[in-house]
Amino acid sequence: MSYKVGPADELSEGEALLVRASESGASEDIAVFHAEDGNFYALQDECTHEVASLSDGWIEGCEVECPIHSSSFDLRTGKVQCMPATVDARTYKVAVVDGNLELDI
Amino acid sequence: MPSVHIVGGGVAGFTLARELVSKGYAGNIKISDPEGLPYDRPPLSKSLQREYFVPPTWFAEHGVSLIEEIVTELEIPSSPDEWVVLATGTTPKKLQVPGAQHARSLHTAADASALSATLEDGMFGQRAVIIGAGLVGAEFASTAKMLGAQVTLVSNSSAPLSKVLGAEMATALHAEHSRHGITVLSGTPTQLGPDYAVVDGERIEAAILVAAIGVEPETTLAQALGLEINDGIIVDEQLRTTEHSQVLAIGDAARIKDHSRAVHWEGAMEDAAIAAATIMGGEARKHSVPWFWSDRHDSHIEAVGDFSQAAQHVSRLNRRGQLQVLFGLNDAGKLVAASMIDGGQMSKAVKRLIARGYTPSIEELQDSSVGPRDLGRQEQS
Repeated sequence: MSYKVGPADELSEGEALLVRASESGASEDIAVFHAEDGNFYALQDECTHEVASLSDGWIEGCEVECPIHSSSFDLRTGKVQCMPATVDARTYKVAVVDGNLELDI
Repeated sequence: MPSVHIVGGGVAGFTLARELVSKGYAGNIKISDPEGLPYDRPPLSKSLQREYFVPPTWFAEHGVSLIEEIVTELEIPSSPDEWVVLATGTTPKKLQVPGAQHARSLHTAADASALSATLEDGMFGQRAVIIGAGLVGAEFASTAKMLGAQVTLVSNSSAPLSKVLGAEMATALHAEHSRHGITVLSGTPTQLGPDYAVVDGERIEAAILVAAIGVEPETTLAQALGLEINDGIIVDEQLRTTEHSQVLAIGDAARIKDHSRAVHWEGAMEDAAIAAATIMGGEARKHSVPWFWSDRHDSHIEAVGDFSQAAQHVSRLNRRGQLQVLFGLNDAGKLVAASMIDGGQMSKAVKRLIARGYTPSIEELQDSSVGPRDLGRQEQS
Protein backbone atom coordinates (compact mmCIF):
# COMPACT_ATOMS: atom_id res chain seq x y z
CA MET A 1 0.00 0.00 0.00
CA SER A 2 1.27 3.41 -0.76
CA TYR A 3 0.57 6.65 1.07
CA LYS A 4 1.00 10.11 -0.51
CA VAL A 5 3.00 12.22 1.91
CA GLY A 6 3.08 15.48 -0.05
CA PRO A 7 5.24 17.47 -2.47
CA ALA A 8 8.90 16.43 -2.31
CA ASP A 9 10.14 19.98 -2.79
CA GLU A 10 8.53 21.02 0.50
CA LEU A 11 11.00 18.86 2.45
CA SER A 12 14.40 20.50 2.17
CA GLU A 13 17.68 18.69 2.46
CA GLY A 14 18.61 18.04 6.09
CA GLU A 15 14.99 18.04 7.18
CA ALA A 16 12.55 15.37 8.25
CA LEU A 17 8.82 15.06 8.66
CA LEU A 18 6.59 12.86 10.73
CA VAL A 19 3.88 10.74 9.14
CA ARG A 20 1.52 9.71 11.88
CA ALA A 21 0.06 6.22 11.82
CA SER A 22 -3.38 7.77 12.31
CA GLU A 23 -3.00 9.66 8.98
CA SER A 24 -1.30 7.00 6.89
CA GLY A 25 -2.92 3.85 8.21
CA ALA A 26 0.53 2.33 8.77
CA SER A 27 1.16 0.26 11.87
CA GLU A 28 3.39 2.93 13.41
CA ASP A 29 4.54 6.55 13.09
CA ILE A 30 7.13 6.93 10.33
CA ALA A 31 9.79 9.59 9.85
CA VAL A 32 10.65 10.66 6.29
CA PHE A 33 14.08 12.19 5.81
CA HIS A 34 15.72 14.25 3.08
CA ALA A 35 19.34 13.22 3.56
CA GLU A 36 22.40 15.21 2.61
CA ASP A 37 23.03 12.84 -0.31
CA GLY A 38 19.91 14.36 -1.85
CA ASN A 39 17.81 11.20 -1.43
CA PHE A 40 14.71 10.53 0.63
CA TYR A 41 14.55 7.77 3.24
CA ALA A 42 12.06 6.60 5.83
CA LEU A 43 12.45 4.88 9.20
CA GLN A 44 10.21 4.04 12.11
CA ASP A 45 9.83 7.32 13.98
CA GLU A 46 10.36 6.09 17.52
CA CYS A 47 13.97 5.62 18.54
CA THR A 48 14.71 2.00 19.41
CA HIS A 49 16.28 3.10 22.71
CA GLU A 50 13.76 5.25 24.55
CA VAL A 51 10.73 7.33 23.69
CA ALA A 52 11.97 9.97 21.25
CA SER A 53 10.94 11.00 17.77
CA LEU A 54 13.59 10.51 15.09
CA SER A 55 11.81 13.05 12.91
CA ASP A 56 13.09 15.59 15.46
CA GLY A 57 16.59 14.21 15.03
CA TRP A 58 19.59 15.82 13.44
CA ILE A 59 20.49 14.64 9.95
CA GLU A 60 24.19 14.40 9.20
CA GLY A 61 25.09 12.93 5.82
CA CYS A 62 23.03 9.74 5.59
CA GLU A 63 22.53 9.33 9.33
CA VAL A 64 19.99 10.62 11.78
CA GLU A 65 20.90 11.28 15.41
CA CYS A 66 18.21 10.85 18.03
CA PRO A 67 17.40 14.21 19.67
CA ILE A 68 17.62 12.80 23.21
CA HIS A 69 20.67 10.58 23.58
CA SER A 70 22.31 10.85 20.13
CA SER A 71 21.91 7.23 19.11
CA SER A 72 22.41 7.35 15.37
CA PHE A 73 20.89 5.28 12.59
CA ASP A 74 21.87 4.82 8.96
CA LEU A 75 18.97 6.22 6.96
CA ARG A 76 19.57 3.77 4.11
CA THR A 77 19.55 0.58 6.18
CA GLY A 78 18.15 1.52 9.59
CA LYS A 79 21.30 0.06 11.15
CA VAL A 80 22.22 1.53 14.50
CA GLN A 81 25.56 3.35 14.24
CA CYS A 82 26.02 4.58 17.74
CA MET A 83 24.79 3.61 21.23
CA PRO A 84 22.85 3.84 23.51
CA ALA A 85 20.43 2.22 21.06
CA THR A 86 21.50 -1.31 20.13
CA VAL A 87 18.51 -2.34 18.02
CA ASP A 88 18.19 -1.35 14.34
CA ALA A 89 15.29 0.79 13.16
CA ARG A 90 12.77 -0.52 10.65
CA THR A 91 13.08 1.01 7.19
CA TYR A 92 10.30 1.97 4.78
CA LYS A 93 10.49 2.61 1.07
CA VAL A 94 9.87 6.13 -0.07
CA ALA A 95 9.79 7.27 -3.69
CA VAL A 96 9.24 10.51 -5.55
CA VAL A 97 6.37 10.06 -8.01
CA ASP A 98 5.42 13.08 -10.13
CA GLY A 99 7.03 15.36 -7.57
CA ASN A 100 5.22 13.76 -4.66
CA LEU A 101 6.66 11.67 -1.86
CA GLU A 102 5.07 8.28 -1.73
CA LEU A 103 5.59 6.05 1.24
CA ASP A 104 5.29 2.30 0.94
CA ILE A 105 3.48 1.13 4.02
CA MET B 1 45.89 -16.90 20.18
CA PRO B 2 45.40 -13.13 20.04
CA SER B 3 43.57 -11.77 23.07
CA VAL B 4 42.14 -8.59 24.54
CA HIS B 5 41.51 -8.43 28.26
CA ILE B 6 39.28 -5.49 29.14
CA VAL B 7 39.23 -4.51 32.80
CA GLY B 8 35.95 -2.73 33.52
CA GLY B 9 32.55 -3.19 31.88
CA GLY B 10 31.30 0.38 31.87
CA VAL B 11 30.42 2.21 28.68
CA ALA B 12 34.07 2.37 27.57
CA GLY B 13 34.91 -1.29 28.25
CA PHE B 14 31.68 -2.70 26.92
CA THR B 15 31.78 -0.53 23.79
CA LEU B 16 35.30 -1.75 23.08
CA ALA B 17 34.12 -5.37 23.21
CA ARG B 18 31.27 -4.46 20.92
CA GLU B 19 33.59 -2.66 18.47
CA LEU B 20 35.97 -5.62 18.37
CA VAL B 21 33.09 -8.01 17.73
CA SER B 22 31.61 -5.85 14.99
CA LYS B 23 35.00 -5.52 13.30
CA GLY B 24 35.45 -9.31 13.37
CA TYR B 25 38.33 -9.53 15.84
CA ALA B 26 39.79 -13.03 15.60
CA GLY B 27 40.86 -13.67 19.17
CA ASN B 28 39.69 -14.00 22.74
CA ILE B 29 37.84 -11.06 24.23
CA LYS B 30 37.42 -11.00 27.99
CA ILE B 31 35.76 -8.40 30.20
CA SER B 32 36.45 -8.45 33.93
CA ASP B 33 34.06 -6.51 36.14
CA PRO B 34 33.05 -7.16 39.75
CA GLU B 35 29.56 -5.90 38.94
CA GLY B 36 28.92 -8.53 36.31
CA LEU B 37 26.63 -7.79 33.39
CA PRO B 38 27.55 -4.39 31.89
CA TYR B 39 25.01 -1.62 32.33
CA ASP B 40 24.69 2.02 31.37
CA ARG B 41 25.54 4.46 34.14
CA PRO B 42 23.67 7.69 33.18
CA PRO B 43 20.19 6.33 34.10
CA LEU B 44 21.30 5.61 37.69
CA SER B 45 20.88 9.16 38.94
CA LYS B 46 18.00 9.95 36.56
CA SER B 47 15.70 7.04 37.34
CA LEU B 48 17.65 4.84 39.82
CA GLN B 49 17.27 2.07 37.25
CA ARG B 50 19.85 -0.38 36.00
CA GLU B 51 19.68 -0.57 32.20
CA TYR B 52 21.81 -3.30 30.68
CA PHE B 53 23.52 -2.53 27.38
CA VAL B 54 22.59 -5.93 25.95
CA PRO B 55 20.89 -9.08 27.23
CA PRO B 56 23.10 -11.65 29.02
CA THR B 57 22.99 -13.98 26.01
CA TRP B 58 24.87 -11.43 23.88
CA PHE B 59 28.21 -12.36 25.43
CA ALA B 60 28.09 -16.08 24.66
CA GLU B 61 26.62 -15.40 21.22
CA HIS B 62 29.58 -13.20 20.33
CA GLY B 63 32.29 -15.20 22.08
CA VAL B 64 33.00 -12.57 24.72
CA SER B 65 33.77 -13.95 28.18
CA LEU B 66 32.44 -11.92 31.04
CA ILE B 67 34.14 -12.61 34.36
CA GLU B 68 32.76 -11.26 37.63
CA GLU B 69 35.99 -10.37 39.41
CA ILE B 70 38.10 -7.57 40.79
CA VAL B 71 41.42 -7.53 39.01
CA THR B 72 44.23 -6.61 41.36
CA GLU B 73 47.18 -7.82 39.33
CA LEU B 74 47.89 -8.66 35.74
CA GLU B 75 50.68 -9.89 33.61
CA ILE B 76 51.98 -7.37 31.14
CA PRO B 77 51.38 -8.86 27.68
CA SER B 78 54.52 -10.39 26.24
CA SER B 79 53.34 -11.07 22.70
CA PRO B 80 52.42 -8.33 20.20
CA ASP B 81 48.91 -9.70 19.74
CA GLU B 82 48.01 -9.74 23.43
CA TRP B 83 46.38 -6.64 24.82
CA VAL B 84 45.23 -5.37 28.19
CA VAL B 85 42.81 -2.45 28.27
CA LEU B 86 42.13 -0.62 31.52
CA ALA B 87 38.61 0.80 31.54
CA THR B 88 38.41 1.16 35.29
CA GLY B 89 36.37 4.37 35.35
CA THR B 90 36.14 6.48 38.47
CA THR B 91 35.40 6.26 42.15
CA PRO B 92 33.37 8.82 44.09
CA LYS B 93 35.33 11.33 46.17
CA LYS B 94 34.81 10.99 49.90
CA LEU B 95 33.76 13.83 52.17
CA GLN B 96 36.42 14.88 54.61
CA VAL B 97 34.28 15.59 57.69
CA PRO B 98 33.59 13.72 60.93
CA GLY B 99 30.97 11.05 60.28
CA ALA B 100 31.66 11.01 56.52
CA GLN B 101 31.11 7.25 56.50
CA HIS B 102 27.38 7.86 57.00
CA ALA B 103 27.05 9.42 53.57
CA ARG B 104 26.22 7.08 50.74
CA SER B 105 27.31 7.55 47.17
CA LEU B 106 25.37 7.12 43.96
CA HIS B 107 27.83 5.54 41.61
CA THR B 108 26.85 1.93 41.01
CA ALA B 109 23.61 0.10 40.25
CA ALA B 110 23.77 -1.33 43.77
CA ASP B 111 23.92 2.23 45.19
CA ALA B 112 20.94 3.23 43.08
CA SER B 113 18.88 0.24 44.07
CA ALA B 114 19.64 0.73 47.80
CA LEU B 115 18.64 4.39 47.56
CA SER B 116 15.52 3.47 45.68
CA ALA B 117 14.57 0.97 48.42
CA THR B 118 15.04 3.55 51.19
CA LEU B 119 13.06 6.16 49.27
CA GLU B 120 10.16 3.76 48.91
CA ASP B 121 10.30 2.91 52.60
CA GLY B 122 8.92 6.19 53.88
CA MET B 123 5.15 6.39 53.97
CA PHE B 124 5.11 10.18 54.01
CA GLY B 125 8.26 10.78 52.04
CA GLN B 126 11.75 10.31 53.35
CA ARG B 127 14.02 13.17 54.17
CA ALA B 128 17.11 13.27 52.03
CA VAL B 129 20.16 15.48 52.34
CA ILE B 130 22.32 15.60 49.24
CA ILE B 131 25.75 17.12 49.48
CA GLY B 132 26.99 18.45 46.17
CA ALA B 133 24.84 19.91 43.39
CA GLY B 134 26.84 18.87 40.34
CA LEU B 135 25.41 16.54 37.71
CA VAL B 136 24.79 13.54 39.97
CA GLY B 137 23.68 15.57 43.02
CA ALA B 138 21.24 17.69 41.01
CA GLU B 139 19.83 14.71 39.14
CA PHE B 140 19.38 12.63 42.28
CA ALA B 141 17.76 15.61 44.08
CA SER B 142 15.27 15.86 41.25
CA THR B 143 14.63 12.09 41.20
CA ALA B 144 14.24 11.85 44.99
CA LYS B 145 11.84 14.79 44.96
CA MET B 146 9.82 13.14 42.22
CA LEU B 147 9.62 9.99 44.36
CA GLY B 148 8.12 12.02 47.18
CA ALA B 149 11.15 12.74 49.35
CA GLN B 150 11.73 15.98 51.22
CA VAL B 151 15.02 17.02 49.74
CA THR B 152 17.72 19.35 51.01
CA LEU B 153 20.49 20.07 48.54
CA VAL B 154 23.72 21.42 50.00
CA SER B 155 26.24 23.12 47.73
CA ASN B 156 29.29 25.20 48.42
CA SER B 157 28.65 27.11 45.20
CA SER B 158 25.79 29.37 44.15
CA ALA B 159 26.30 28.21 40.56
CA PRO B 160 27.58 24.64 40.48
CA LEU B 161 28.76 23.41 37.07
CA SER B 162 29.66 26.95 35.94
CA LYS B 163 32.82 25.62 34.35
CA VAL B 164 30.92 23.26 32.06
CA LEU B 165 27.64 25.12 31.52
CA GLY B 166 28.71 28.77 31.73
CA ALA B 167 27.87 30.88 34.79
CA GLU B 168 24.54 32.27 33.56
CA MET B 169 23.18 28.82 32.68
CA ALA B 170 24.53 27.28 35.89
CA THR B 171 22.86 30.01 37.98
CA ALA B 172 19.53 29.65 36.17
CA LEU B 173 19.52 25.88 36.58
CA HIS B 174 20.53 25.95 40.23
CA ALA B 175 17.62 28.32 40.91
CA GLU B 176 15.23 25.74 39.45
CA HIS B 177 15.74 23.44 42.45
CA SER B 178 13.96 25.68 44.93
CA ARG B 179 11.23 26.37 42.42
CA HIS B 180 10.60 22.63 42.43
CA GLY B 181 10.29 22.42 46.18
CA ILE B 182 13.85 21.47 47.09
CA THR B 183 15.50 23.25 50.02
CA VAL B 184 18.79 24.61 48.76
CA LEU B 185 21.50 25.47 51.27
CA SER B 186 24.85 26.98 50.50
CA GLY B 187 27.75 25.79 52.55
CA THR B 188 29.44 22.56 53.46
CA PRO B 189 28.49 20.07 56.14
CA THR B 190 30.68 20.10 59.24
CA GLN B 191 29.50 16.80 60.65
CA LEU B 192 27.40 13.81 59.65
CA GLY B 193 25.66 11.22 61.78
CA PRO B 194 23.70 8.07 60.91
CA ASP B 195 20.54 10.12 60.36
CA TYR B 196 21.56 13.75 60.33
CA ALA B 197 23.87 16.31 58.82
CA VAL B 198 25.11 19.53 60.38
CA VAL B 199 25.27 22.40 57.90
CA ASP B 200 26.05 25.94 59.03
CA GLY B 201 25.52 24.92 62.66
CA GLU B 202 22.06 23.61 61.87
CA ARG B 203 21.23 19.96 62.40
CA ILE B 204 19.13 18.47 59.59
CA GLU B 205 17.49 15.09 60.19
CA ALA B 206 17.53 12.78 57.20
CA ALA B 207 17.11 9.08 56.53
CA ILE B 208 19.20 9.43 53.41
CA LEU B 209 22.55 11.19 53.24
CA VAL B 210 24.25 11.24 49.88
CA ALA B 211 27.64 12.72 49.04
CA ALA B 212 27.89 13.66 45.38
CA ILE B 213 31.00 15.79 45.39
CA GLY B 214 32.63 14.45 42.28
CA VAL B 215 34.70 11.49 41.21
CA GLU B 216 38.34 10.68 40.66
CA PRO B 217 39.98 8.24 38.26
CA GLU B 218 40.17 4.67 39.56
CA THR B 219 43.85 3.86 39.23
CA THR B 220 44.52 1.15 41.83
CA LEU B 221 45.33 -1.47 39.20
CA ALA B 222 47.27 1.01 37.07
CA GLN B 223 49.40 1.81 40.12
CA ALA B 224 50.03 -1.88 40.74
CA LEU B 225 51.22 -2.16 37.14
CA GLY B 226 53.55 0.80 37.65
CA LEU B 227 51.86 2.97 35.02
CA GLU B 228 52.27 6.74 34.85
CA ILE B 229 49.37 8.42 36.64
CA ASN B 230 48.64 12.10 36.89
CA ASP B 231 44.92 12.91 37.14
CA GLY B 232 44.24 9.70 35.22
CA ILE B 233 46.31 7.02 33.56
CA ILE B 234 48.49 8.83 31.04
CA VAL B 235 48.09 7.64 27.44
CA ASP B 236 49.06 8.78 23.96
CA GLU B 237 46.65 9.60 21.11
CA GLN B 238 46.28 5.87 20.37
CA LEU B 239 45.45 5.38 24.07
CA ARG B 240 48.63 3.40 24.75
CA THR B 241 50.07 3.83 28.21
CA THR B 242 53.52 5.36 28.26
CA GLU B 243 55.22 2.27 29.75
CA HIS B 244 53.64 -0.59 27.83
CA SER B 245 52.46 -0.26 24.25
CA GLN B 246 50.22 -3.33 24.63
CA VAL B 247 48.49 -1.88 27.69
CA LEU B 248 45.84 0.71 26.84
CA ALA B 249 43.65 2.86 29.06
CA ILE B 250 40.30 4.26 27.97
CA GLY B 251 37.33 6.20 29.32
CA ASP B 252 37.17 8.25 32.51
CA ALA B 253 40.24 6.58 34.02
CA ALA B 254 42.53 7.71 31.21
CA ARG B 255 43.97 11.06 30.25
CA ILE B 256 45.70 11.84 26.97
CA LYS B 257 49.04 13.45 27.70
CA ASP B 258 48.90 17.27 27.62
CA HIS B 259 45.10 17.25 27.39
CA SER B 260 42.57 17.68 30.15
CA ARG B 261 40.77 14.52 31.17
CA ALA B 262 37.57 13.94 29.19
CA VAL B 263 34.91 12.61 31.53
CA HIS B 264 31.80 12.03 29.52
CA TRP B 265 29.83 9.11 28.25
CA GLU B 266 30.22 9.93 24.57
CA GLY B 267 33.97 10.49 24.92
CA ALA B 268 34.26 7.07 26.59
CA MET B 269 32.58 5.44 23.59
CA GLU B 270 34.88 7.29 21.20
CA ASP B 271 37.86 6.06 23.22
CA ALA B 272 36.59 2.52 22.68
CA ALA B 273 36.54 3.03 18.91
CA ILE B 274 40.06 4.45 18.97
CA ALA B 275 41.29 1.54 21.12
CA ALA B 276 39.72 -0.93 18.69
CA ALA B 277 41.65 0.72 15.86
CA THR B 278 44.87 0.62 17.88
CA ILE B 279 44.38 -3.10 18.48
CA MET B 280 43.17 -4.13 15.02
CA GLY B 281 44.75 -1.46 12.86
CA GLY B 282 42.79 0.83 10.61
CA GLU B 283 41.56 4.37 10.79
CA ALA B 284 39.89 5.53 14.00
CA ARG B 285 37.36 8.31 14.15
CA LYS B 286 38.85 11.26 16.01
CA HIS B 287 37.21 12.54 19.16
CA SER B 288 34.28 14.73 18.26
CA VAL B 289 33.31 18.01 19.92
CA PRO B 290 32.51 17.07 23.55
CA TRP B 291 28.82 16.71 24.44
CA PHE B 292 26.89 15.61 27.49
CA TRP B 293 23.36 15.74 28.77
CA SER B 294 21.62 15.84 32.11
CA ASP B 295 17.96 15.45 33.05
CA ARG B 296 16.31 17.10 36.01
CA HIS B 297 12.91 18.57 36.87
CA ASP B 298 11.54 17.56 33.46
CA SER B 299 14.24 19.53 31.65
CA HIS B 300 16.74 18.04 29.23
CA ILE B 301 20.00 19.92 29.61
CA GLU B 302 22.87 19.63 27.16
CA ALA B 303 26.31 21.12 26.84
CA VAL B 304 28.59 21.09 23.82
CA GLY B 305 32.20 22.15 23.43
CA ASP B 306 34.39 23.61 26.15
CA PHE B 307 33.27 26.59 28.22
CA SER B 308 36.73 26.93 29.75
CA GLN B 309 37.83 28.42 26.42
CA ALA B 310 35.01 30.97 26.38
CA ALA B 311 35.82 34.62 27.00
CA GLN B 312 32.39 35.96 26.13
CA HIS B 313 28.88 34.56 26.59
CA VAL B 314 25.88 35.20 24.31
CA SER B 315 22.38 34.40 25.60
CA ARG B 316 19.39 33.26 23.63
CA LEU B 317 16.13 33.70 25.53
CA ASN B 318 12.81 32.02 24.93
CA ARG B 319 9.58 33.96 24.43
CA ARG B 320 9.07 34.19 28.16
CA GLY B 321 12.44 35.81 28.55
CA GLN B 322 14.06 32.75 30.14
CA LEU B 323 17.55 31.61 29.25
CA GLN B 324 17.33 28.83 26.70
CA VAL B 325 20.77 28.66 25.12
CA LEU B 326 24.06 30.10 26.29
CA PHE B 327 26.80 30.32 23.67
CA GLY B 328 30.47 30.68 24.56
CA LEU B 329 32.86 32.52 22.24
CA ASN B 330 36.61 32.65 22.72
CA ASP B 331 38.66 35.84 22.74
CA ALA B 332 38.90 35.73 18.95
CA GLY B 333 35.08 35.69 18.77
CA LYS B 334 34.93 32.06 17.68
CA LEU B 335 32.13 29.78 18.87
CA VAL B 336 33.62 27.22 21.29
CA ALA B 337 30.77 26.05 23.54
CA ALA B 338 27.05 26.13 24.23
CA SER B 339 24.71 24.94 26.95
CA MET B 340 20.96 24.65 26.57
CA ILE B 341 17.68 23.65 28.17
CA ASP B 342 15.36 21.50 26.02
CA GLY B 343 17.41 22.56 23.02
CA GLY B 344 16.14 19.90 20.61
CA GLN B 345 18.50 19.91 17.66
CA MET B 346 20.50 22.87 18.89
CA SER B 347 23.24 20.69 20.42
CA LYS B 348 23.82 18.95 17.09
CA ALA B 349 23.80 22.25 15.24
CA VAL B 350 26.39 23.73 17.58
CA LYS B 351 28.50 20.59 17.43
CA ARG B 352 28.61 20.90 13.67
CA LEU B 353 29.37 24.61 13.77
CA ILE B 354 32.26 24.11 16.20
CA ALA B 355 33.64 21.16 14.20
CA ARG B 356 33.59 23.24 11.03
CA GLY B 357 34.93 26.36 12.70
CA TYR B 358 32.03 28.55 11.67
CA THR B 359 30.57 31.20 13.99
CA PRO B 360 27.18 32.76 13.20
CA SER B 361 26.71 36.45 13.97
CA ILE B 362 25.86 37.50 17.54
CA GLU B 363 22.42 38.58 16.29
CA GLU B 364 21.73 35.13 14.84
CA LEU B 365 22.90 33.44 18.03
CA GLN B 366 20.55 35.61 20.10
CA ASP B 367 17.57 35.40 17.78
CA SER B 368 15.30 32.53 18.84
CA SER B 369 13.54 32.68 15.48
CA VAL B 370 16.72 31.36 13.82
CA GLY B 371 16.20 27.63 14.36
CA PRO B 372 18.95 25.05 14.90
CA ARG B 373 18.78 23.81 11.31
CA ASP B 374 19.19 27.31 9.87
CA LEU B 375 21.97 28.04 12.30
CA GLY B 376 23.80 24.72 11.94
CA ARG B 377 23.61 24.37 8.19
CA GLN B 378 25.56 27.55 7.56
CA GLU B 379 28.95 27.14 5.98
CA GLN B 380 31.94 29.33 5.53
CA SER B 381 31.48 30.83 2.08
